[in-house]
Amino acid sequence: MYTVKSLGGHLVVINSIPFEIEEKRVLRELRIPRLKHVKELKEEGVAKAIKQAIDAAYTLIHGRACYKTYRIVDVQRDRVTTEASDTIFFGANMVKLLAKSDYATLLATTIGPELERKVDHLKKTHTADAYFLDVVGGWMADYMADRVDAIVQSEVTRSGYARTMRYSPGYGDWDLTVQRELLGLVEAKSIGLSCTETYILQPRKSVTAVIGWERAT
Amino acid sequence: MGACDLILERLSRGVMILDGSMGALLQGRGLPSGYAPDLWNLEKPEAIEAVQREYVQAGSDILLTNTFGASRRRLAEYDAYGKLKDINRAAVAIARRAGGSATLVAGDIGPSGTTVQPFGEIPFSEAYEIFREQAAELVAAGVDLLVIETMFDLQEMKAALMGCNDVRGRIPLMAFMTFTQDGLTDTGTDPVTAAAVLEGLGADIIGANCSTGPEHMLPVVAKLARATRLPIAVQPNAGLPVQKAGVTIFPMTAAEMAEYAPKFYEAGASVIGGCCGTTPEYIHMAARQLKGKPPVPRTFIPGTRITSRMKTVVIGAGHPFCIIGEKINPTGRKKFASAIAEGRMDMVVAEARKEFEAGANALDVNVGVPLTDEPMLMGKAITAIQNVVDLPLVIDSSYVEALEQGLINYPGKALVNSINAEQERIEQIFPLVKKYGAAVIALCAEDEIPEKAADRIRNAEKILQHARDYGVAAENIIFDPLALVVSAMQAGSAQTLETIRIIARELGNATSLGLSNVSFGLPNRHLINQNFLSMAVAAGLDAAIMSPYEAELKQALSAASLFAGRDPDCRRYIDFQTVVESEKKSAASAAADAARPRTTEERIYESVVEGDRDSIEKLVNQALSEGSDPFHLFVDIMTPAIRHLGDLFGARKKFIPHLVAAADTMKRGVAILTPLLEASGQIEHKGTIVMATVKGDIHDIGKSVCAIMLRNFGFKVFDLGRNVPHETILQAAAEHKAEIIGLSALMTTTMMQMKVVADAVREQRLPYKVLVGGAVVTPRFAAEIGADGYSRDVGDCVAAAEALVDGRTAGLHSAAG
Repeated sequence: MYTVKSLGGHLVVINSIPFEIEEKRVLRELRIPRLKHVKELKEEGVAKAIKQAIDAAYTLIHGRACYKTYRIVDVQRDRVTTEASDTIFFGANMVKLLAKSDYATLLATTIGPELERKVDHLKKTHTADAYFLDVVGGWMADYMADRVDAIVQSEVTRSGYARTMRYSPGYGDWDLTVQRELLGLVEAKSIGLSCTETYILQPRKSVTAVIGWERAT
Repeated sequence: MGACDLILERLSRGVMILDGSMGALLQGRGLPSGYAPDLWNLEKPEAIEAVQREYVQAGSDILLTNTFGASRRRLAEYDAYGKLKDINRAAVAIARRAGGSATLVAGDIGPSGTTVQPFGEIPFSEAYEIFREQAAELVAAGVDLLVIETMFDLQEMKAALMGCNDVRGRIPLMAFMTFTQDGLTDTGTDPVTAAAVLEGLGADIIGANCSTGPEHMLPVVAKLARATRLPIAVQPNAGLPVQKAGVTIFPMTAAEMAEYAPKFYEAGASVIGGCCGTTPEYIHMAARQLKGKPPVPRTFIPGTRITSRMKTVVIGAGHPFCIIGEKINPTGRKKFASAIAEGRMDMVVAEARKEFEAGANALDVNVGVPLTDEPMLMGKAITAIQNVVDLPLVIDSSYVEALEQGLINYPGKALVNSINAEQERIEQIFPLVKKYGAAVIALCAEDEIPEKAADRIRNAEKILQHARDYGVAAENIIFDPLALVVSAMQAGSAQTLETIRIIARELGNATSLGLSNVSFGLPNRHLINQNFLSMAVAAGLDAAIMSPYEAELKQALSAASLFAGRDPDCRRYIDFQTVVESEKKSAASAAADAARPRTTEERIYESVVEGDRDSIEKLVNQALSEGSDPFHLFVDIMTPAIRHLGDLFGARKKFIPHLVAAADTMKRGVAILTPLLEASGQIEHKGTIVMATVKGDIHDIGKSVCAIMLRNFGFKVFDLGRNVPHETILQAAAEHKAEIIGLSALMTTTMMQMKVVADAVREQRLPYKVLVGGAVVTPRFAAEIGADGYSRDVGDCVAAAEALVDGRTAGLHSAAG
């Protein structure tokens, strides 16, 4: 018999996420088309700067994540209510996303604070290095979210559900102001994640999101 | 023959049948949804027994006890931890009654319900204790086997196997991982790696269960069967589950499931059962086809297997030579040692990546710095390295405690470096190797290194005997025949090669050498290392702890492997040479380009366009010493260079990274010129810009890059930083007599601060142009708040600023319509 770790409000914490920084993806984030490897760049100075940023990122990134799955108890015209909150999923987009779902997994993930500290440190004197490192960090925040997404998807599939798309605060009409409540519901403190008064995640290179567990039609 | 041996001997003669699902059948007997079936061992034992009797009648040879969730944390969710002993023992008694004397009872252990460090939440020791506790009760209750099933993660499985090993004596242990439709576990482990780790940790039978139906499980079983000699077990679900009207349905019928039973058998499985959604009817059909049938012969390629969490490397005859990177070692490296001593793993991680990219197949990890907490540092290093490279690790320390911490934090099958024939070392290291399921490098020496091969072989044989005594499989021992310093012991060095030959021919174990020592004290060490390595490969050497950075060494190895049966069809050699040729061409092209005659000023121009930050300062100083005028360099060389790059960007031949690197390059060059320009009074500023990230926002790297670009193009820029209130911005603009206020925001929650500034400028009739930019800002927004200009990104901020000082708007035209 299978056990779904995150059901019933169990917090699942992943303290260390193994990762690989794909050069092709970094080049895309830098909006350089077609190339797969940094060494394909004709301009050695640019290639060196990007490679240095990637090498530095390996020593600065420490991926962590946590997620929790809540049962959906009611779907109304303007909101979806869970066993823990009737304010977290507010708005037409959330209703559309979760209307056919029995459960919703809230997740939070971060690459940790060290990379952005390095960016801040480098900004004034080595601005280009800071820029490239910042871009790598931004991509890797999404990467960590993808890793956790895959694990949540396993839980969803094993339980006989289909998953919805991954949806983050700030998308559509899911207002960014839900961030604080979301972080509380997912006990994001356990991975050192919080937000400012203006709802900026700290560390900045972090992602919060929801994935719904949809019933088969 | 003990009971364990009897069961395994029976299995070697014929297929055995497990049981099927319990939960669904209990739900049919009234088990409420979400209620732990384990609790019914005490509350409704007759229901459990009835289901198990059905399976016995259907043909099950082995019944799994109803204890999947009967471990500490899982029972605590139902406030039932206090009943752990009673629940587990009752479950065994029920199965015994249901099965009678003919059916074996297997104590079933499921996941702990949480995640295990270093990647997960609870300490390894706690996970180990959870499994040991439950296993002890099942063993005390008299089970014939122990079963660990539905494990998602190798580290948790390791804790479970070790916990069971602690209490099971000779009772057989069956271990199942669960694989997704991709054929991997949740944490990315493939069946080959799972097999190596589970076998290394002492499982007697390994398998796959749950998560998928038989169709997806079949290739997993086939891979498991090729990766080990152990019996293979399988328990598929009845297809992929579907939620219908609040009920989980497993859609495959018993007949559809049973069609796969012979396929599993042909793939190598000899223990067949079912998981979620399967029924006694399916078990009956499977038993009718397969019960007692002799297991199919299987092919298994011998060798010493070491693994990361996700990847297996096989070391031995016929397998590719294994390069074990030697560079994670603080010996003779002051900075590296300091970093480790401070607990910092950044240099360790950087070296691991470098070795991986240089082609190492495994990494030796040594963090031995005097007067430090080496065990703690080893744990930290092993964890940090695993995050960034997926290579098997060789845990290298003279201290047993450090070896143990490395092994605890490592979910794969590690290689321990090292043991030798000394009694003390044998007694310390072999129990560790056995307990953690590792392989070990064994030095063919005691307290002294023998000169003659025969004496080294005698040590090897002694080690093998001890290995047998400690239950360490011979194939988990890689012998190091000892590379002696040839300048000091020439005859002994030759005997090293002879030792390799004898080990390969007569003992069959894999061999590995620490390469670098051999050439110590002689000139042109690379030449000696290359030749010795080639000769050792010819003698049968399988692996070496060496530098992966030496291209010529890898070339020699690649060629030598052709003659050692390690490169069928010369494929690896050809692929390697293709890379080498390509790198040679690039290097030749770069050298030709560097040799092209150009003036220093031409080189400065190129440096800016190419973003070559490392050369610019030297070139500018050279140009100045050659008599170039600083103003000429700025206006006639660097500025056209950056403008040319801007044109290339506009034509989409160069991209933002080129702009950023070029801007930084020019900034470094201009930094040398600025004092000279200021002294000469030749500097003219296009305009003054005050820049800020607005209040509440802390993103500013894009703004910082824009600031450089604007300065490069002759603007005077005052960057106020981030989270800047509007009053401070306006005050700075007044103080510096700015022409432009540049504002950056990256959040929808902060961008309205831009309107505050724009409104204040308008209402107070201030003489500043407001230029806005940032990921969330659009031309429409800029127009709506009354900004004068919009800059999309670092690529057009200069053009936007120049337009504003010329009295035009910038970037707002696309807001129309």
